[in-house]
Amino acid sequence: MPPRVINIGRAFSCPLESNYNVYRRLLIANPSISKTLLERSAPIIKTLYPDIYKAVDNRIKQVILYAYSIQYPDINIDRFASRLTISPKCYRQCSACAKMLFHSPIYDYVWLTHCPIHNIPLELLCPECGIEWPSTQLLPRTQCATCGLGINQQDALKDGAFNDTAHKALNYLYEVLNTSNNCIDSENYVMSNGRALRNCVSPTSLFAPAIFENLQQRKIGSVYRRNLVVAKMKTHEFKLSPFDQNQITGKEIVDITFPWVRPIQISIIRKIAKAIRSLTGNTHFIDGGSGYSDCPYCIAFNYWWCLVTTVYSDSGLDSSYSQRTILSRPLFEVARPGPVTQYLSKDGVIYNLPTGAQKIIYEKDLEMSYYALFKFAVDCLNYPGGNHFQLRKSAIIPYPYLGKNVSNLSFDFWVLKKSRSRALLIYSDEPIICRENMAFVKAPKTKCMTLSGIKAAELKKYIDNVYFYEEQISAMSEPHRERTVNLGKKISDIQKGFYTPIISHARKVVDTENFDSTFYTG
Amino acid sequence: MKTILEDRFEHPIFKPLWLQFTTPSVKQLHQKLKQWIYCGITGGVIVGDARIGKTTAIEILHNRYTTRSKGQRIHCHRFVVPKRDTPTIANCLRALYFSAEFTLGKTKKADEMSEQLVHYFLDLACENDDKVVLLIVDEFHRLSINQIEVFAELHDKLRLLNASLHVYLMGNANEAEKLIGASERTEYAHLRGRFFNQKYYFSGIQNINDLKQCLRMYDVTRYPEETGPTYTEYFLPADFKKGWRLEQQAKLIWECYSTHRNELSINSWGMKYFVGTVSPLLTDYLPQYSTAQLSRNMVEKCIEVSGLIPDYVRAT
Repeated sequence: MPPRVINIGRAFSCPLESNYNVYRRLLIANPSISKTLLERSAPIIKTLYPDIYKAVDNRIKQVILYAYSIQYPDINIDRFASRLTISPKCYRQCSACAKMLFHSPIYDYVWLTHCPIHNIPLELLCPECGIEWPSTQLLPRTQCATCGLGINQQDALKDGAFNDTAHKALNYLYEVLNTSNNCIDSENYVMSNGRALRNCVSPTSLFAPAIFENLQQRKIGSVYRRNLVVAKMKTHEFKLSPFDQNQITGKEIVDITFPWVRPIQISIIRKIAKAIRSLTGNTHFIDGGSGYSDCPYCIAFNYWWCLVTTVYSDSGLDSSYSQRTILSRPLFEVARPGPVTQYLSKDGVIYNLPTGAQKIIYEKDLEMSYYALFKFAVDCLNYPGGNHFQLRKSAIIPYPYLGKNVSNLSFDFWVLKKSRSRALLIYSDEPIICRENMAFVKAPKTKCMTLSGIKAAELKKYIDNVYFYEEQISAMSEPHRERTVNLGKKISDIQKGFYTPIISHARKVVDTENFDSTFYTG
Repeated sequence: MKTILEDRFEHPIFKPLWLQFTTPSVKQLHQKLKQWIYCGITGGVIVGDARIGKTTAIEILHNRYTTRSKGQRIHCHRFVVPKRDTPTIANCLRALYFSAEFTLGKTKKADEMSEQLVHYFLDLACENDDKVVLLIVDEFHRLSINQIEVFAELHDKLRLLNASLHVYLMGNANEAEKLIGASERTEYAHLRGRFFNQKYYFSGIQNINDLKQCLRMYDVTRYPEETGPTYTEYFLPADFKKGWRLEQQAKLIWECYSTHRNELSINSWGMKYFVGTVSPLLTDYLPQYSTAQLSRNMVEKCIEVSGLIPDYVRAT
């Protein structure tokens, strides 16, 4: 047997543990060399285990691979190394599991709300320290009895914690993951705006259990259901008819006011208002016009509404409008509806996307966009100094307004071809906000116009006011090509104008001049 | 290309470390250790005369132990105690730390080393479901009574982590007397109970039957293993074919040894001296003078060569 570089903490090893957990147990099992574990062990691994040293270039991975090679002498180093990934953090963790030195990669998945072993909520923060679960970098210096190296080892090794029932529960969830991945026999359709409709479900997706249940026709056991978010899925069947390019006359592009667009917009405004009311105790007001509120709901609403209407006043833009943050999340993404402008393509064949399917996609896009903007507004308010690093950090910091799961929510669409001429649009109908563990802060009441008791007539008036602005832009329109240039320029000005209120609320620290050119598109 | 003569010296008989026979004494020790492990006796002392073959016996036996329930391997860590000027607990821990091949870092606190070793033994214990690990402390007579506390501490800590560390101390009977005597004092009752209550006296060849079994090993052990000739056949091929066996000479050899045993009051024939007697007989005298000339004088000469007499005269 070759000499051991370090202890591997075999007593603490559990099936289905994450590599983060492997690293943590290595640190605990090597108290005399923990602090310099990586620095000191790497050269020794290089000498004694050249295969491991060559297989992975990351030092943490080398140490983990070493531990695996000792524990499972028969593993193929190269093959295993190619699949070895380690997350620098554990984002969510069960506090009871943390005390027992266990973490599973599935705890980071948004669809799992409770620990399957202890049936308690998964936490973003260590209950003892009150801060995030430590990263691999911070672990060697963390002596917390829950999240760090100071755990009670006797308790961690007590029998009964990881018994057969616990493993059964974990195994079951792993099974859900494995089967839900690529479980849809779908095809890769691409919309006319270049947006791909998904043909597989990532295990990390919120919809993984729902897809598993709805499309595999296998019910998730009631014992496990209470720990999962099983999103409701809906289906819409439509006709797959070939797309005829001659249908485009150019007139449709200009005519952007479809009769079904405004009702959808109104219904989404109602939905947003209802969501805000439910989150803030039915007392919230939305600042509909001033744009100078400190409330992220209001900032997001203004920004959202202006952008929604801008999209339809812009005949020069392509059929969709998308803006991304530095975190590569869509800040705003709405498919532009139209009689013939939306189509699906696959393997060079183009199909019409019927109005029914367009409505669904448009509605979900509108709703998603509001929450994306809301999240962005909260980011800006939380980090007035808004540099890249802090905004990146914000992705893992809980949002005081909407609760912890907000960063992982989205609507997804799948298209399943049923026959030669029929297809099925599958989509999630669940509210975007996760219901569990909401932590809200009441928004300020002043300077906000109430939406809670708003009447239909007032709402229409409010919307018409905004449309007035849109009409002004339309009035400026000239022949098509010129309009494209002029409106493109105008839109960029409008964008700058709309970003500015948010930045000003972020205490004017962000440089607005550089903001929209590099800050968003990075 | 090597000559036949050079090849001859590749034979294990010329390499004392390679020459390992499972003698009756080794079998008895094996049974005793097995008994201790199966009965849950977590500490014991194995003593015997110097050069009797204790260390070799443990080298042969250390990887033979399995759990009673599932037959899983029980890992055995061998630790040879080095002699140091200051017999401190930290020194003992450090020696044990390095014996576990931890080379990281230079200066470590005793607590750190202790914790590291606890996890080291815990790792080894986890190789079987019963979580048992053996620690053989060779030359334990070099330790002071306080240094024995190291093993008690490791044992206690591992017990809290649901693992069982069996510590068996092994050393020379004469030199260990003082240490064993010290353990009788009341203040070391906890050590006596843990490590010194169970004693086993390891002996060498005690009678002609033991000698026969040892000599038979030369007649049956092959080099190269399985395919080659036996040790006896390798050096005396013609005689071996005619049916001559070393085992048959047990009576003559025992008579010669008995003379010295009575004179020097030797309890048992140490393996070092036994091998030191048989090796020159088999490799030099008999090939040179033929088996027909094997005589008492020849055997006497071999016993002299083995160093038995001067060693025991000096010891007594």
